[in-house]
Amino acid sequence: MADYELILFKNMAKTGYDGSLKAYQQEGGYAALKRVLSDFSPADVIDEVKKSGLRGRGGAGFPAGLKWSFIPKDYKGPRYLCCNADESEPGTYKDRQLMERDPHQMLEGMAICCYAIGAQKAYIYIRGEFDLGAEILNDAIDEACTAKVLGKDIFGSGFNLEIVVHRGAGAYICGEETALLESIEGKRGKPRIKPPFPAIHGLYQEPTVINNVETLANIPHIINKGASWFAGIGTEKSTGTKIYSVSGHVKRPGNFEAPMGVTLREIIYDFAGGIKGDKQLKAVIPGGASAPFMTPEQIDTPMDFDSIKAIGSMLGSAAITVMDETTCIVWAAMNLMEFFHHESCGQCTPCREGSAWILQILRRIENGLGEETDLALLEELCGRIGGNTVCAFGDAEIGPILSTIKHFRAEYENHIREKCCPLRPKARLAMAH
Amino acid sequence: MKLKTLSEKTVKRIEAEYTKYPDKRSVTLPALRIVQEDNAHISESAMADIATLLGLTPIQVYEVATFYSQYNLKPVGKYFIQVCKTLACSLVGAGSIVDYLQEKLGIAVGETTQDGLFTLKLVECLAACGGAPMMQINDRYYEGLNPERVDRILSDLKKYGTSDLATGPFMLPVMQG
Amino acid sequence: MSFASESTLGDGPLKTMSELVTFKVNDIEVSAPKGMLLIEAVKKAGVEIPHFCYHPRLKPDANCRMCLVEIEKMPKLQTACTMPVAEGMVVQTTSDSVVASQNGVMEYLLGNHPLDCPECDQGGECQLQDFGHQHSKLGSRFLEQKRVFPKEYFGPLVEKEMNRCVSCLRCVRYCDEVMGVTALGSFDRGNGTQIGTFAHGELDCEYCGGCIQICPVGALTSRLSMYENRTWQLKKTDTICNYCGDGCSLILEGVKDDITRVSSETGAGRNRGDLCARGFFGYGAINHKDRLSRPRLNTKGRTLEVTWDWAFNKAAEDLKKIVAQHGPDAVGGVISTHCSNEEAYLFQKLMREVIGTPHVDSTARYGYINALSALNEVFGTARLSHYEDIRSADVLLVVGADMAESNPIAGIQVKDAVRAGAQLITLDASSPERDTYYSHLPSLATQHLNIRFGTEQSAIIGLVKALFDKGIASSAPRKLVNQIKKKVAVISFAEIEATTGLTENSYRRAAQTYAGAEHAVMIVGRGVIQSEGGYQNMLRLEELSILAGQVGREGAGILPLASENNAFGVVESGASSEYLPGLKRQEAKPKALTLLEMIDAAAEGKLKALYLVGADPLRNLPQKKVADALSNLDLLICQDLFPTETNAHAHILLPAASFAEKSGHYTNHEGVVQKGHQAIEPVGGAKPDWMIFSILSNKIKEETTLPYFKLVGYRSADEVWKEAVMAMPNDWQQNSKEAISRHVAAYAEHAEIQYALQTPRASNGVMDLQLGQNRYHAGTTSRYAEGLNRLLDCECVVIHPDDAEALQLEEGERVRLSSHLSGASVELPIQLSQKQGRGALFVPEHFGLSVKGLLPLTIDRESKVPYGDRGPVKLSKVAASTQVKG
Ligand SMILES: Cc1cc2nc3c(=O)[nH]c(=O)nc-3n(C[C@H](O)[C@H](O)[C@H](O)COP(=O)(O)O)c2cc1C
Ligand code: SF4
Ligand code: FES
Repeated sequence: MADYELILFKNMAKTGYDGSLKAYQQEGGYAALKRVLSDFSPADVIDEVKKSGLRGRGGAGFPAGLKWSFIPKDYKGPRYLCCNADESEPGTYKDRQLMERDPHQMLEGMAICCYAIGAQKAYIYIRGEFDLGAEILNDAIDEACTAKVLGKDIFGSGFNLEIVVHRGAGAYICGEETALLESIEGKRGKPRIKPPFPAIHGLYQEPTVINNVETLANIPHIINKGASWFAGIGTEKSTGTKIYSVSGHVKRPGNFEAPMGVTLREIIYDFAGGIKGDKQLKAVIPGGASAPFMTPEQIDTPMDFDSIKAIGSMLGSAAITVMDETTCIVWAAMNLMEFFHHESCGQCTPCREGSAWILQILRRIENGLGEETDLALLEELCGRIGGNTVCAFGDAEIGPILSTIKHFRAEYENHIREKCCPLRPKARLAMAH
Repeated sequence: MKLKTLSEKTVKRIEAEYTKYPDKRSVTLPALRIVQEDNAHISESAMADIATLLGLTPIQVYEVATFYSQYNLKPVGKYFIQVCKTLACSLVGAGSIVDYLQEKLGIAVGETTQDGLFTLKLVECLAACGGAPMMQINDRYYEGLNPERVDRILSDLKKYGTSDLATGPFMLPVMQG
Repeated sequence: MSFASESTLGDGPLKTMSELVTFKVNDIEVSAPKGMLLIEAVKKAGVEIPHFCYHPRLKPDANCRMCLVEIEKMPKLQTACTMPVAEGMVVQTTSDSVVASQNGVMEYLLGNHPLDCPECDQGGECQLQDFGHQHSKLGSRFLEQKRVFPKEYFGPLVEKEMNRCVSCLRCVRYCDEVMGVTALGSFDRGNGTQIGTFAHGELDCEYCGGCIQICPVGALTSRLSMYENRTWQLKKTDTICNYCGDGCSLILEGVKDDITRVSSETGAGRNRGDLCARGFFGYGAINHKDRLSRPRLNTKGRTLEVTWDWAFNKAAEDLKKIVAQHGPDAVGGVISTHCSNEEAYLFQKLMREVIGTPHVDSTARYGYINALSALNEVFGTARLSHYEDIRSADVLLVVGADMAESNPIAGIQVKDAVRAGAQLITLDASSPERDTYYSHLPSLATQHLNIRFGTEQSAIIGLVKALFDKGIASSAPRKLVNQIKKKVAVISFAEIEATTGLTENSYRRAAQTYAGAEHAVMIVGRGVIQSEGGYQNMLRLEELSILAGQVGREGAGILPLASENNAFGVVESGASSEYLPGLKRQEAKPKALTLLEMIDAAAEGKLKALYLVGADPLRNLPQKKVADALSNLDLLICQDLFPTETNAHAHILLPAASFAEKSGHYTNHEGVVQKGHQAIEPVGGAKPDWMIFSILSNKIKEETTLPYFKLVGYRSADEVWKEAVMAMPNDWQQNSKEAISRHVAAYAEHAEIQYALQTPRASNGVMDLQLGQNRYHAGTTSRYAEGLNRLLDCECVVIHPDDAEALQLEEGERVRLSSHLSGASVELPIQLSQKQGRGALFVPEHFGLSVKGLLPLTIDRESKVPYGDRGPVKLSKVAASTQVKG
């Protein structure tokens, strides 16, 4: 197995590393912030991040430096950074590890970003169930403020930054950046219509940057070692490393850090130890529940934004869920649709009505009550959601359905023809709420 | 501005959140959480009180309280068991964990045991897919579940109110490679 | 002072849309103002884009996705409701992909819809039906279980059928964005999302009916007219609301002679389609069973129903007899401010020309005359500002008005302005807190000048005095400035504070904001106009606006709020002791008597006959005195819709048609003249007032025995209107900067300005009682409206919760109010309200008569307005409690 350089996991890979401020500083922590505050102009920082090629790790892969540069320079009012720690994409659990094991790494990244965009206040939007993560972050912020590496007059530079941990309360959709803003504002997590984009009218209608935890955690390293070092890792258009969260039918599930562009095969068979019970691989989701399914034939595709997109799926959060030969694909699609149905915010018609309808059809098919016309209907119903909704959730929820129909049509047809689930003869409505 | 339900302590905790936001309305989520922590569930009059505190109309609080799945608007047991049922967990046996819990506690999903100790609920992905199957009980995660571990956890909770099987900072795998 | 009578919706953003762009829709080239929303812009090409969530009165929300269109060079379909048009845009609204998505949205929406159109009250005016018809394929493929929500009621007037809802949130957004009430919300999530009230409870809101009207489907419907009619069978008639002075356009809908519902057209009228509870739910009075239907005579202790012929003959003969015996001066007449301009004109003509008496007056004498005369005196006009000015003003000064109660639609203009960034200064004795689901302007104010009860007069002095430091507008005549300066110099801020409770600083800040505004509009309410010193106080406020330079120029001005729909018009049409038509002062000999003077003259036996049209002095003036006077009359003719305490004394009682049953012009408090149309035939045997006057005039003049229908004279209200307009000065609806400054200059020459500070009053155990208007009622007619009674059907006394607590009183508990002056007392249940000023009580004036008896009456020296709405009372607990609604 290849031995890759760790960046984000480097500290925590050391035995005894406890993520405290002291431990972090011993590993050179907050040096990047200090340097930025004394030697860099905000524009320099943005430039450096742009040059590094760092793309957002939250799912969409938008270039981080470019996003920061959209914040109006001459704007007089407040600006905000929101760190997206909602980690709500099924299969994903990497940000949790970054926050729980090395919180200062991401706090330092946030501070650098705030300096670059001129924000004096930042919110960490952490999913409500992460009690432990929230405690750890709050302690880390207190620690950092006491040590004056955060808070008022950081490193005597005159730069102030207050970081607030804002806890969600159970809503996947709040990972969507504008729903996240609404949620911080104390409202229902309903995605906003765009434009305007958050860089112009974001939190409290002020210019706002939203970045994922992992994206921000990379920043101190880019400053420390330089943009070109970072750009040299990974592929040309997907630079740096990525944390791959592996789950499902693998021998050794977990978070693995490796460069962008390693193949799915390497991740599944080397890092995660291969399929449990050495069964056959049947399907894999490469980027969280929103990413279309891939087949065993496709697992030599490099895990970078563009290669995965090219084969019709998406890198997303790089959360890899592996399914072996015993998995019923219709059931898997139904399971994910249950998730999306439960999590749709409900504001726009296609998603609100479509998710429920599609789920009911899948339940019928899985329970042996499918009709010949159902597959065409499913495809049509999905087609009316894709691209037509307020937010990208609509595109996300149809990914699993369309891709499973595309790759595993026969299995659907079997269900309909045999009037039962061939893989689960005593099909029961497992897990129906 | 008279409050109907909230205790002085709860109000103090809510007021401590004000400084974190430029706008009081932002305290809606923290306030609901605090009320739930202090009272186990969020009653209608508590929501009305939050509205009064934050200068909102009660419906504005109600809208939020009913949107997010973590808020309990009805009482739940002392230990609120939420088992993840999303794909990664279901692939590796969440279903049998639920069956096991139902049988062991003698309740169906959505119910509370007669002694008021346990409520069982299914939830969507809690971002612990590497430790699947998993569940959350009150503010802690329990991962890598199997019947034996579930037994231990339940008896620990009954006896001590906590269990050392609760997951700490996420460790899996111990390291890459 | 803009003169817009055309409707403008959402005029905020439109203002900046001067530049035109050219774009193509379905290959038709159109031009539209740059930035206009596509969904509006394509209308010019005759294209309608189907939509549910879009509504011109609301901010775009783009949630229904019905309006998706294809725009060249854009990768995805775009929502036309959020897309501004741009130069060169090429839009397709009927391409395959657009049609597919429209069919898709329709099929999604119809999937769970109950399709209960045959019994749905929205049937026939339902956007789901309409767009479904055009954009939906036949047959649904939705074979699954439909989602079912139980039916709910939002309180006594609104039914919610969630299964019909399309989740467009128009109701929720209207309640929040327009009304600022925020009583509705959406709750739960995803496919289970519902709209509703807090915890499924009863609505406890302003009941503007906006949620019902803006719902594109039958999810929210009125419980007042449930399952009664199919909408297309209803005849719809445009008219003007008959309740308050806001001048709202509304549509009466009914069959034959029955009004069964009210609606309004989006964007139409002074109200731009918005209505209040009275307008929307208050139509029940029209067809109320207690309406007078036949003429009656009271003779020798008996009441006889008679024919119109008989009644006309009797009235004419009796009037002529009195004129012959005592001279025409022995006759007087008073007309209600709910009558039309035509009617007021004909009435004054009947009195002045046919009978020959100068004694004609209207119920504007109860207060509104103060505003009209004071404005006319100083500016030569009372038309000084319009709703458009309010909406575009940067500063609003609202003095002595509780607009959410008295003039809700004018209040909406203020709310719109505040939302657009205007600064709001309110001056009254209410507390700035609001009740949960009721709007209250002081709670939105940037500065609330929270004066002590009844000290408006002194507070105005404070504002004027403070203005002198800010610098006086150069347009203010020197002579006036100097005179005022001298007067205020001798009054100290310490004295003003001792009276009003407000510090020098508050006055300075407010004066500075007001005078520093680019365009300020001053809005004056009953707290000034209809309260002691009203006439003089109004003059002082006008001087304030002159000193601040906030009058007599574009966008700035004064709006005097009227509680009755035609107070302005009735006076302007000449039904007033001091004015001939067109606000021309009349110098009559003998001097014309005002309303109260007529009562006095009757009591003294000098006035022998009184003709009361919709006037009910027993309600408004000291009862004993009025009763004595009325019984002293040889002839009392009353003309009314309903039996009243006053018309019980009538010798001849004539049943009048309501506004729904006649056409006529009405002038709202902006001075905008609008025509109301007849919707139904007069109920019972009633006749329009104008027709009665016309016939009676001919009867008297022509000494004839012809049957009345041969004596009709004017054949229609329009014919009267033509004549009435001719009686007005040429430029009666116009005003010009020049004319105004000429008048101001003239006023400055002769003005004798008095500033009198009120003396601070110790509270010594008494509370201040104010009578006034409740948002669900207007005058007393509204009490016949079933819909409004469901909201408030009895008298109560409103008190601040803190005061109630201190007195250990609870909501609904009965208390006794007593007057230490008259010794009278009444028992009423209490109602708590946060906005009530502490130490002060409020009783809605629409119910019993006895509460009036607690209050002292004073008469304005100049305008002869009787003030009897305020005074000190003692409040004490009594046993047993009942609940009050509303
Ligand atoms: C339905 C939906 C859910 C999302 N959930 C998350 C999430 O849990 N965490 C996250 O970082 N980004 C999530 N995103 C992506 C965010 O909208 C946003 O793109 C991201 O936070 C930007 O940060 P980045 O540029 O650093 O990736 C989600 C997007 C959608 C449409
Ligand atoms: S697509 Fe779904 S989640 Fe996104 S805004 Fe629409 S209803 Fe909400
Ligand atoms: S009208 Fe545009 S999305 Fe509803």
